[in-house]
Amino acid sequence: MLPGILPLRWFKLVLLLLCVVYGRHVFAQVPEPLDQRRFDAWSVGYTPYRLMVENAISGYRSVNNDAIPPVEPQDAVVLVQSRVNTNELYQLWYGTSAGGYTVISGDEVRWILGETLQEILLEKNQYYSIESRVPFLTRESQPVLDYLERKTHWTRTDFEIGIERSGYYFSDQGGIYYQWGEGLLNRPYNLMGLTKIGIATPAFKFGILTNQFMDMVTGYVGYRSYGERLAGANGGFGSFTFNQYSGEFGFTRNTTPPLEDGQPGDPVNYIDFYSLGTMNTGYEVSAGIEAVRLRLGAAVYRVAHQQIDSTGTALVDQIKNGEPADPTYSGGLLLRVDFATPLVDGNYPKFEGAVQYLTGTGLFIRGTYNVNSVFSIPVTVVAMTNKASWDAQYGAFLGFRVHLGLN
Amino acid sequence: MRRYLLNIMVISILTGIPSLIPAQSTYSNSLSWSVEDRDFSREFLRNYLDELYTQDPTADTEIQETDQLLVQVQIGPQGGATLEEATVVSRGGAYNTLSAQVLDSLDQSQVQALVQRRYAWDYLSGQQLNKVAVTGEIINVFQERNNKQVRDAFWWTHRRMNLGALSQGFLRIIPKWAFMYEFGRQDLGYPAGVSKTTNVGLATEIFKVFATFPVPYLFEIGGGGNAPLEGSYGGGLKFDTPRFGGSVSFQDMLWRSADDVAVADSENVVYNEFAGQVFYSFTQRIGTDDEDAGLHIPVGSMRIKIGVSYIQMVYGNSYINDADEFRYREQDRTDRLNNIQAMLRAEYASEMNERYFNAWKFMTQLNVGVTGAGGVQIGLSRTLIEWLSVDLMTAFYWSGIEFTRPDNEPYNWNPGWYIIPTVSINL
Repeated sequence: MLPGILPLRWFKLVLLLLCVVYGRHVFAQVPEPLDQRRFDAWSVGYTPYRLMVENAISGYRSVNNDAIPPVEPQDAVVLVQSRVNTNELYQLWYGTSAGGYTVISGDEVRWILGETLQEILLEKNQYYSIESRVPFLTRESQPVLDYLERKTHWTRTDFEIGIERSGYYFSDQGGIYYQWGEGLLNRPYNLMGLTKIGIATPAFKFGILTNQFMDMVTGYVGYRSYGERLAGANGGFGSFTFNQYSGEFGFTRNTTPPLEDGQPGDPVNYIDFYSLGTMNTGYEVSAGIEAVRLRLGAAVYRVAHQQIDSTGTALVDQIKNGEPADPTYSGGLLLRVDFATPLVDGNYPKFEGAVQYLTGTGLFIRGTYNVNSVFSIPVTVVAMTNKASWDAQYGAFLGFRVHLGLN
Repeated sequence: MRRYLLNIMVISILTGIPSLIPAQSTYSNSLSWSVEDRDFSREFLRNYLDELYTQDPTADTEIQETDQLLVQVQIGPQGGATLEEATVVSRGGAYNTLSAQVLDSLDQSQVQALVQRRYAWDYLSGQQLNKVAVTGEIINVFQERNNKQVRDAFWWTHRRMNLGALSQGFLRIIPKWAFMYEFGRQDLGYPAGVSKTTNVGLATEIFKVFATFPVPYLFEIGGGGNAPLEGSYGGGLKFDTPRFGGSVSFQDMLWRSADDVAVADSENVVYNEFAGQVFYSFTQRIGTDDEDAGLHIPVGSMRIKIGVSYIQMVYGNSYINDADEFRYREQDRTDRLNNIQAMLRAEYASEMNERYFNAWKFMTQLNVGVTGAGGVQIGLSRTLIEWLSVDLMTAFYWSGIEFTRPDNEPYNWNPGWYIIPTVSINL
């Protein structure tokens, strides 16, 4: 056993998964059409510079009778720099994995961008830029993998309505959304007691945590009493994604009973802190499913124990042995596998799924049947292996999602 | 089109949300630029002068082949570009517009080559834009660069290392991200010294994610204050985009132990349990580079942030129990209304030189709560030599926060007045 940290079998598993996650970088084939050793490639994520590139392309089209295709809002704009000549851009790519890329080379890049914009864009470490593999891929596109990668933290739709998540995304840069529960904690839907409402971007999200909508509307999720489920609370959360890493934390605090239906003395248990971090990697595979995405990391959450006071208007700590009851920590190592079948019309997979195991908590399985590009039916099953008094042993959830304006 | 209609529909429903949307297009019915391909501009102007003298052998013109050529093109509603105006700038800075009559007489393939912009070119500078009558909405590359410079000057560093003794520091071993530390919470109105916390984490171009630790009391000059905000363990996330920024953070007294730095006054412990902030910002170019102007503001950019903060303050007492564990007993907390503060912040940075140094930086921030409580910060930073800068930060709070103990005795927490000098090393 690794001293005081992990049992040996877990240590081996972690070692194996680390090899899997990082092995792809070691054994990656020499990509085409560009040699990755000779070029750097990145996409422009800083909105003002990205808009300037779009404007420059638009301007060049205007004075050249639309000689090159237009750049669309959802397109990736990828810049390529030769490591031999670092003073100028070698190529400019724009497009999508599903729709293909337009590649501009040589002098035409300078003609499109202008000198100062090119100089600014070359300083890729001084603005929000994201390393891109697109010019190095042996295949022109890997749409299913891109689909899964994009869904890990961001979205593929402009507007989505669903039971578990809804959002409106103003552009490829940001939007507002709500999410009911957190699947990565094995607590989707009402198993968390909380709803997230916030701002989402491809790089980060942040916002408030509050009582779940169902509780707010009905005043109560009727099938279980206060002490037998996680109650709601108010607080905040933040999450980020950076290269293949992502993380999230949230915190809440209750000073008054979260709902009106509690009685004096009722225990109130709620998640007052959670944190998770994962590293992510994707693979193209065959045999029915087109691509898988692995996430390995850790997740932990803490359940606070309070109770409604004698007046019924305030929360006080539960007392055990004369001291405030210590909160309960849960969680551990996290392994999640997302997968999807080939895309239909380059837009959506007919079926996508996820299997996740969080040590100390349980198993999460989700299958989503996409009826078409607009309507989806996700089915989620959660099994708790370490059930507390506020947990259900099993949970099964049938949801729906409507998404409009597929990118 | 479908995406556009959807956007418009939802925006119409969500009144007020449109202000959150950054400008996605900057459609202009004209384009203007400066020809940077000297061979091209010389040949074009040589042909222009030849045609001019052909039409009027006695023509008196200041235009020379070596002048800088500025082009303005009109884009038709159905597409198609026509030359609207061509201007030259002499080495002495004089602007002369080329004759439309002569341009019309030129071989149109030459004019078309000028319009098609298949040569090295650049954006017009602010001065050139003022001289050339440009219509339409303009996003200027120089303005965007300056906006970003002032934002970056306060967000992190363009250098490999920037280590402030009592403020904040960044270590960019890998250019895309940096290790960071930050004493206190300047963004919330409680800079180093006023808040006994340090945030340690990662900074990227667009967000920072950090863990919070308690640190010892730094120092205070000025007096008249009470104990600063106590610190504990926690974490947070900040982001800063061109127009919008914000943060969310928390601390938890449960994570303190008896071995941590001692609280200043165990009977009266005030700390910031959690906080959130959002702001909108815009940037303006200010200053002059006229060295004869006497006392003046050097050319730079001023960024204004307008936002709102939600800061939950908790009051309590701490003790070490029989098991040698740190315990915190909450006695009161600010109510929701008093947690809300308006924030107005101005940040100025003089123009960054080619080695990524700002000679001057200045900031001031005003925080005002709904009951009138609040404070002001003023900070000034001067780069003495490239690797060394000196900073001075002062913070003043004109009123404190009134808490009530369970026995109904009041406790007034008043931060007072702080002056915090420090130095920073930049490498």
